[in-house]
Amino acid sequence: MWRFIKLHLRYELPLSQSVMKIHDGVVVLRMNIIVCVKHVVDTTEIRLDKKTGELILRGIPTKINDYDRNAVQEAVRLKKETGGQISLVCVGPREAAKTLKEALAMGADKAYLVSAPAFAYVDPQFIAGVLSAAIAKIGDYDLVLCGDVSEDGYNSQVGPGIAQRLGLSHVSYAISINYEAVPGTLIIERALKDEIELIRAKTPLLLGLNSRINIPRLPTTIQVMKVPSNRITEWKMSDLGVEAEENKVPTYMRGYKVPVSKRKRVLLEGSSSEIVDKLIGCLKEEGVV
Amino acid sequence: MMERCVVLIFSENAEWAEGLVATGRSIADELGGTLGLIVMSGNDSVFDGKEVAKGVDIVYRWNSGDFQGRLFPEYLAAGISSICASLQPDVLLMASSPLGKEVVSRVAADLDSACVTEWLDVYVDKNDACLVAEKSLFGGVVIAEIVLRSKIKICACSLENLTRSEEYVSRYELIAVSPDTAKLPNVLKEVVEVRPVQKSVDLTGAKKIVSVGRGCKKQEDVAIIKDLCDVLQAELGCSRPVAEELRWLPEERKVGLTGVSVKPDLYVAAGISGQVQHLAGIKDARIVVVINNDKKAPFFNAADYGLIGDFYEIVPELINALR
Repeated sequence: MWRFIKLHLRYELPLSQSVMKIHDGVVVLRMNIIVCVKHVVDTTEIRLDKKTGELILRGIPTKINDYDRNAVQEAVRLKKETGGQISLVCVGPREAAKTLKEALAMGADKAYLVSAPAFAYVDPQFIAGVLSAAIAKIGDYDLVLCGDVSEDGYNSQVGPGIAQRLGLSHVSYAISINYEAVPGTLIIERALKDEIELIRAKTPLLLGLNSRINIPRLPTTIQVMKVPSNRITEWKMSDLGVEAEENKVPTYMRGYKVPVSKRKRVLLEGSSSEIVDKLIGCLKEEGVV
Repeated sequence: MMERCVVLIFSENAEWAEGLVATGRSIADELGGTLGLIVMSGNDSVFDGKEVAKGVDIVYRWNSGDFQGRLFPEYLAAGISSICASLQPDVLLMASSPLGKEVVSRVAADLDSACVTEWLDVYVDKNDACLVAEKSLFGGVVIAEIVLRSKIKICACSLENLTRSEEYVSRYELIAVSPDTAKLPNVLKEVVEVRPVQKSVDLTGAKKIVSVGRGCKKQEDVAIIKDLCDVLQAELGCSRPVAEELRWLPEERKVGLTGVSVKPDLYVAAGISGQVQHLAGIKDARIVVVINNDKKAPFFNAADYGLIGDFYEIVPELINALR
């Protein structure tokens, strides 16, 4: 290994053609990365119908899961530093093409959209199964990145569920990824409740990223619009050898309850000094000042 | 005659085991079988569950003496999965801790099981003869009723719900179990270092909190909120963007679903719109006061007292009036 590197430097072979680069004085191996992204309903827009109290989901804008933006951003950084390709994979409806275009505009290379029936989306284990089959079909990866959690379900199951199915180790709640002196090995910081843990792990590996890991650089609307639709490869579940039978999905949502708000909802109106005085009066009555 | 183990519990610590036993007991009684608790011996970092095995029928002791160092989810999941495969319980209960969620996800993948994390309640529905778990959806907008339909059903309890406990008499039987060692993975990870996090404040115990959001236009203006905190003798908190994107305040001051859950007597939110993820962190606040200049801000529906107006005018007025 080290003889190869010395030869490399002596004959000045172009680094871009090799599987290794030098980043910050450390030899790093090119990493091909697969990023799982989820297309979700914009949770900030969800409303309850005032008359029926029912959830209004139709016509609500949809977007990329916030936490997956962090994953795409991290993949882009790792690609800049090590070379390699970024493939995106998403299980979603046709509208999810929008999410994939945004991620392609951020710097990903390829995108795969797997369509699934509506009943499949509620079950994270089923989704993890479909994503695992897609990742296995894409193949040739060193890292799989996911956001730790999705902003609609907050299940946190998909990342480790994929790792288990693919026989990979995983590191969740990652807030930084760095390179070890030994190529192919990473040092990952993970945030637990009262501790930061430093983990050394070898690729191939799955990483669940915490949103503290980076601040995503969002592409402009024009950059997203410029991404042609044919950059997205569409797969059906049958292309992956996965059955889509409703009674094979292990969970289903039979209904929901709306939590009743116990807040007083008193709106204080008037000039600033008036409402401040009213507020202090109320807070004194409540016994908090 | 030994009844079948219908509910199996694994807990990382004694405190959570109590809450899991309370739920497990009622489900086991409903299903007419025994309640089991897995304890790991030979490893100091995981409790030896003898003290909390009250209410449990069988304690399954997993001799993990050969395992050194921290418990990786890959290893823990393989062991628990193997034990479940041989005992075939109807239900596996754990806590939705960071480690717990990683473990149940892997066990569910291995066993092809239904799995619900962050449940607020789980029960046997007698009418429909099924196991139902309730959990928040969309950060708390609704509570979903999820039916689990696999042979072994896995449920990880939301940490804030692990407060149930009942008085039980200790009456358990102790059985040794060994996971199939062929299935225990050689995990290619190593813990290099563990650093405790230096936190400047712990908001979970604060009686009064004033939080700042994006309504604050400049980092220097956070000082206005700090003055209000001083006058009210309150702690300073913030919304997710202020901690994560603007990075004006440290993580430990971030209130919400992915931050701290607080239960003060008084919570004042200045310049925060009130997205569901933020509201999830203040469910147990006694009095919520909202200051925002957007009358359509969702926070006004979740406030006790709402003041529609400019943060930069109202807060200084409030400070003066309180002095």
